[in-house]
Amino acid sequence: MTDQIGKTLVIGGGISGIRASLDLAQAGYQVLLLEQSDRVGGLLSQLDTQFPTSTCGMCRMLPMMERDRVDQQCLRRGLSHDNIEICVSTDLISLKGDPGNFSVSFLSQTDGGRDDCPVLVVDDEKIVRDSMKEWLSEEGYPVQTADSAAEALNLLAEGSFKVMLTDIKMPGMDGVTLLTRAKEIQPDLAVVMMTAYAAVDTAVEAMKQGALDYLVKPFDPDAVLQMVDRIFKDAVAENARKDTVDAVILASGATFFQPNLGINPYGYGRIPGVVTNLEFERMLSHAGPGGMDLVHPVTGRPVTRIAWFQCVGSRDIQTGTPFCSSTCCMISVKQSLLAKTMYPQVTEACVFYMDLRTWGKASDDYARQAKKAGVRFVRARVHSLAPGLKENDTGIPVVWLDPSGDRRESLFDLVVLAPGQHPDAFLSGFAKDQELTTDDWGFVRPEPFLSGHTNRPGIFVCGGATGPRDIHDSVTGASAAALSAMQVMASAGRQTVQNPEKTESTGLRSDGVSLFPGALVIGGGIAGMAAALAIADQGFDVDLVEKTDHLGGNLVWLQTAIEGAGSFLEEQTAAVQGHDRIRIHTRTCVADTMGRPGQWNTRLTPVKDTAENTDADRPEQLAENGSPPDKSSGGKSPDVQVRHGVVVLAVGGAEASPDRPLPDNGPGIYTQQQFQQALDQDAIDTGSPLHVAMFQCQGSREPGRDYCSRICCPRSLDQALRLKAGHPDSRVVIFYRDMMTPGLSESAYTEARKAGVVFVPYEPGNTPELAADNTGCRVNWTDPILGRAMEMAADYAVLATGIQPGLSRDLARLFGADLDRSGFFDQADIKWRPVEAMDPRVLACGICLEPGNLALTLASARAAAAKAVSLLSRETFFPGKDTARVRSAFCSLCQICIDACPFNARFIDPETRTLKVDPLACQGCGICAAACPSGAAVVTDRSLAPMIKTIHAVLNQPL
Amino acid sequence: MIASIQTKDHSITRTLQDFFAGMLKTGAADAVLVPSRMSDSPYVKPCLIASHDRLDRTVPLGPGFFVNAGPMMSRLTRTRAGSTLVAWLRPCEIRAFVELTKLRQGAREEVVIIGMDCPMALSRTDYDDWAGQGNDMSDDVEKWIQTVYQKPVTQVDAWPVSRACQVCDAPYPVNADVSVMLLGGDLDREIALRADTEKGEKLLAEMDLSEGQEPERRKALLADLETERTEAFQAMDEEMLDQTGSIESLNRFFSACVNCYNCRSVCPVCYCKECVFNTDAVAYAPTQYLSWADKWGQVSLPNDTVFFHLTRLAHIGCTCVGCGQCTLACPSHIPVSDLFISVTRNARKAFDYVPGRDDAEPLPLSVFQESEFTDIVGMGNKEAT
Amino acid sequence: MTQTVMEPEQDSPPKTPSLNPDAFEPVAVAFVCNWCTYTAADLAGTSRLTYPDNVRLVRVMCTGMVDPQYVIKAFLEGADAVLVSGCHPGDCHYINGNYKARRRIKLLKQILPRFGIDAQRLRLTWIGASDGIEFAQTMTRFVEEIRGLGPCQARLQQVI
Repeated sequence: MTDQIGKTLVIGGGISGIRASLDLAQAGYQVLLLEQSDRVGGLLSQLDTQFPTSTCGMCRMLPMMERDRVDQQCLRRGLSHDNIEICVSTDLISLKGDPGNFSVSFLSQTDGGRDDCPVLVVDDEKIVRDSMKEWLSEEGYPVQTADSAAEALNLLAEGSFKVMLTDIKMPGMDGVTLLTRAKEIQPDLAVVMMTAYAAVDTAVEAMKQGALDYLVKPFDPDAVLQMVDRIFKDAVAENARKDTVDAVILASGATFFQPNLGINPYGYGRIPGVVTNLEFERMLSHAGPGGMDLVHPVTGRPVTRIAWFQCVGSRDIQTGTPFCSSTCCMISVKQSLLAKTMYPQVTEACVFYMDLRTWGKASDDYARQAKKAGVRFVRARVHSLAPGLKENDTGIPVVWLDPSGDRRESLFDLVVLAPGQHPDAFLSGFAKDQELTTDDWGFVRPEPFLSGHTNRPGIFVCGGATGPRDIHDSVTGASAAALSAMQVMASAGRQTVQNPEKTESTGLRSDGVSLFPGALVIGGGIAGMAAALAIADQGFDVDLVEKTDHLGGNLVWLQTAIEGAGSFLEEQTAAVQGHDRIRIHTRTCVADTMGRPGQWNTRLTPVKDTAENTDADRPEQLAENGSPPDKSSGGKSPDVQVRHGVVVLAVGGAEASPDRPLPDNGPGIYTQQQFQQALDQDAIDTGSPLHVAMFQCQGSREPGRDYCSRICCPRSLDQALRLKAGHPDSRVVIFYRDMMTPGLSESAYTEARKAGVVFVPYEPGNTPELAADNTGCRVNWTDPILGRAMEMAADYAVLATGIQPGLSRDLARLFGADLDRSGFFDQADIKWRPVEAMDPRVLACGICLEPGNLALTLASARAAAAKAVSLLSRETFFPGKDTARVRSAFCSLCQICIDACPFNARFIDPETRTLKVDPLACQGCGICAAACPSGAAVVTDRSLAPMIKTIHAVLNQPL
Repeated sequence: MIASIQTKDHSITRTLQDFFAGMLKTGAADAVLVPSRMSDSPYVKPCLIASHDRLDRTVPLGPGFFVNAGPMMSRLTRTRAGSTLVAWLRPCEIRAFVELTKLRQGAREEVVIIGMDCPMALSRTDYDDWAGQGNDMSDDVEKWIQTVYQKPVTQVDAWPVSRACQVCDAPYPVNADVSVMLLGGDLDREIALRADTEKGEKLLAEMDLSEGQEPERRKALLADLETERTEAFQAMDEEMLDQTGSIESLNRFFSACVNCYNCRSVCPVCYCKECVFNTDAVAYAPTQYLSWADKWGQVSLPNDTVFFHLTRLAHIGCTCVGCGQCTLACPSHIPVSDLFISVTRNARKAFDYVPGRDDAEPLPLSVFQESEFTDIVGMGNKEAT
Repeated sequence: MTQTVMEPEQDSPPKTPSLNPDAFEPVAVAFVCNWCTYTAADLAGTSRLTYPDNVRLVRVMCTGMVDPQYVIKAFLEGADAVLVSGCHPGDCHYINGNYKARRRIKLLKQILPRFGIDAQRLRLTWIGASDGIEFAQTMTRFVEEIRGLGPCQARLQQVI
């Protein structure tokens, strides 16, 4: 149907859901946001601050333009956008359909809540009755229990239940008989049999007699909840509200592991001083149970000594969670830093860890801040808090072994467990219902190379539902998912909400502002290509600039190392070259630009012919689409002028160079990239037993390059496994500081250990010595556990040096952006605006933005494209009434306001020599008005004249 | 490099006039800015002179300080002119001009600033008196010069110099291109000039002067000057605290103020093209006046007198250069600069800021550090961030 | 909201009893930033925390929006005290408005005490969105301290 506004369903109102919703809403689409709990914000609304800063800043997710459409308030107070319908306390009942035509039914819990669905649990074992009751009542179901079939029948006669869960084997009447009797009393009762593994046949038989389903002991609380939820939803389905949407984004998040459910609960639930990190977060918060004080939850005494135990319910085969939960290390870093800085009473803050996973761009630095603040990081895994241990008045005794094997003990007031994350009951149920591909642990597995896509067309996924994620990756992924939804709606021919009538404003120019309708993407690597394709697919012209003579960037050499990457690169290249909206300019770079942001006129110029611009291994030149042919006699193609409204920086980067000299060829020292290329080109004889030493963090996480590059540890593991697969007697030793394998990549670490790869930790400043000559390499180190000097002869030494960004400051500044301390694109906010500069028209993606693997690069590219499309698809923006204005008659052009504006929204117009405001960059904060001494800078309601009236008014009100 | 000019005819004024003429003749300067009389009137104002034979009325050194040349320099350097301007400026005028360049109201690129040990200034009434002695004014001027540079004085004959001058803590050139070192000099014989920058060196080199040296007694005299001025400032500061230590007494201090805004007009660092007190911000509705009258029983008009002065204190709190023009210009003889200098010289200490000393030193309110001034944050019950 | 002219037969006590120093009720103005402190104020409200109503809240978008003239005007209009409260450093929605506010308040604290307006009458606090308790405590403490200082003599007479 033409003229129909595109609508997307977003399931889950956490930050991923909010981000995706806002991106879609800002682009002009409608969003139906469903949230199960009673408020939006998800997990994050329980965290006052989030790593890698000790600040919040969630409100920076709100749109920077067209602010009149969304309530300007802290997101903890609420979210309200004209284009988003938010339904909290709402259950998703059913979802069916295809892209462009999904039917969704949902029900507010007030209209048919779980409290209308009483459950009867029948089991002779008290523990079963009690735990079922706990799990179900926590979800809102009223629960009654019966210890025998007879009692159950009594209860059924008295009251009415919707669901009965019954054991089969019980003394007295058995479950199957109960089933028959119960159905006589109440035919519509939904009955679920509970059975031990051996008696499954009986359960199946019972189903023929009217039981709905069965559950197998030992019970997984999620399985129980899913079962009951399914029954409940089917029962209320006819009261549900129905709607039709074009696309669906699953953003339902994940949940924390409950320590007491694990084999080693560390006393959680028994020792009051043992808390989870979420509970501790609330204790830190001034809005939490302790108010302004940090006190023991039971004794009420001030807390002075705190310990954190990492990897509780993560990296733990015994609990079925062998993956790493990615964020717990950084959460503990943040909490320990905050505990020390917010509460001077805290004398001891100690984090017990295995690998300190500080893998984000700013995370390593944040951990250093914690160390500087006095937090102790101890590489040790506490075995347990002894059974029978009583927490005495002096604290909780914690025992561990230090690397030399000595026993250490210390007392703590609080022990904070950092539990891992796993899918929650909703996600498990939804994935099953929708037949989504999940990984081994129940998280939704996105399609390879299509970040955010599930196996079901039209259903996209982001955030914690795909696995443990930090804010940065969640927000990036959410924008990428929003793009996918936009693509569905665009191909279904949906419209966007056009601008409402111009907002009324006194004395304000109500002319709209437009961006030039095109995008400039600088960098023809996979990030640039993905961004260009996504933007072009939405109907906008793209100029793609690449300084070498080919597309593909680093993926050209990396494609053999990643499964499926070769054909993916081929497809993308063909798509880019064949796209009629993309003009490719190879051997071209940006010379300069003119015009205000959003109305850029950029000059592209051919790159001078130097060796570094041509790739000797690729003799064939890819055709330039739409550009004049390059004359082989060395003549230059003329400069090209490009008008564009947004710019995407995707210039990539390269492996950082090591500080050691490398030999030209033959056995010896390699960088990780060189080694990979050697392996891929079969220059390394992996079929014979080799001795290889790998060194992580070479030059990384040190002054000069003080970030973790995220890709080196997984890559080294991949190479190690390959060597081991080549010959089991190959000896591979990896010297590491912390193995950075967050999330699901932890499995590679596990596999490598199983395959016999040896891991030797080292401390910064105590790097193993590496010597090489034409016979091979030699490594000398002091083993941290044996305490002895060790030596190893190696055929190859591989140095993992990490990534160096390739973005020049001049290029960034050309568009009003800048580099951060480490040389990457300085994003406006590492958590909340990861792919944008302060000016939302300047975007970046790929490894010039931040180090990461192919998946992250593609996600950031799609996120950047989502932002670009959101902006370009608005024909006209109407600045809100809170946009700053300049009264030129008063203005002395002192530029104090330009210095003061945090958004570079003010400038001197060279033609008229007057001070002007960029209405799309201005955020209406009023800082300019306060800085201006003469009242030339004004913001409606936010400058001197109205404020004086207000002050007079409030001080003349009677008490 | 230090050069020296030989004094001619026992007239420092004439010597300096020839000096300026020389630079106009050689083309080292396309124009000079020097205080000058107009016709027969004794009053002097900054004068832009491009011709070497028009210097006979200039009064480079004297007690006449009718206009702070800082804003005039602004006008002359607002955009590039493609010519070299040599500006003869008092220390407070240099400070003012430097502060104005920070506010993009002018630029130093095409200017060579010649500063001098300050000859100080008289109030309008005293100047009239002094100029009306009946002598040839040039004799009076020479006498003035000889008196003030021999040793620190606060008075010449019957006339006390303005209070602002008496408390000025930097009455010597700072941040100039050339500094004329007059204090303690044998001015009958020579005048010593020191080049402080490359530009200054270039100018002096083009003037083909002989070598010179700083007057021997100058450093000691400057030290004496500093001691005297510090004491005088402390006395004034205490006086001001006494006279304006409460809002009530502040009100009394300004009870003769009629909102003429002269002080603002002549203030060199009050640069706004239009003052906020001329805008709608203070154009209250008549009901507001009635509300005030109702609340307090009366409203003295014109309104916003104290508000104006407090605002100005906040606006120039760090940039007041202590030139004293505000007092000189006040028709009600309110010692405005006594108050402003006292308050601002203390206020700017919080930012370790001294106006005019460094072109590159940013205005305190234009910059910030991530962690600073934690002492003023919070209610004092826990660690401030 | 201006007051109408007094009714002719009106009895004492005066319409604004706070002008009577014997029955001193402090009147203060708080400029609170829309994002953090205002949310904390809201949270204090929804948490049913009580604090004295002597403080008149004026919502500004950012503490960086607080012109020194607002503070001066508030005192001249009869405030006994002025509080400026916003986001913690690093949390400002507009990135660095609070840093600018800190400098402006610092300057005002060099100027106002010279005229007898005690430095303690002008306060700057960082109160985050979750700090409902802190907001209520700050308001309470603020009012009590000002009560101890007594009326600001700027408001005992008309000075504008």
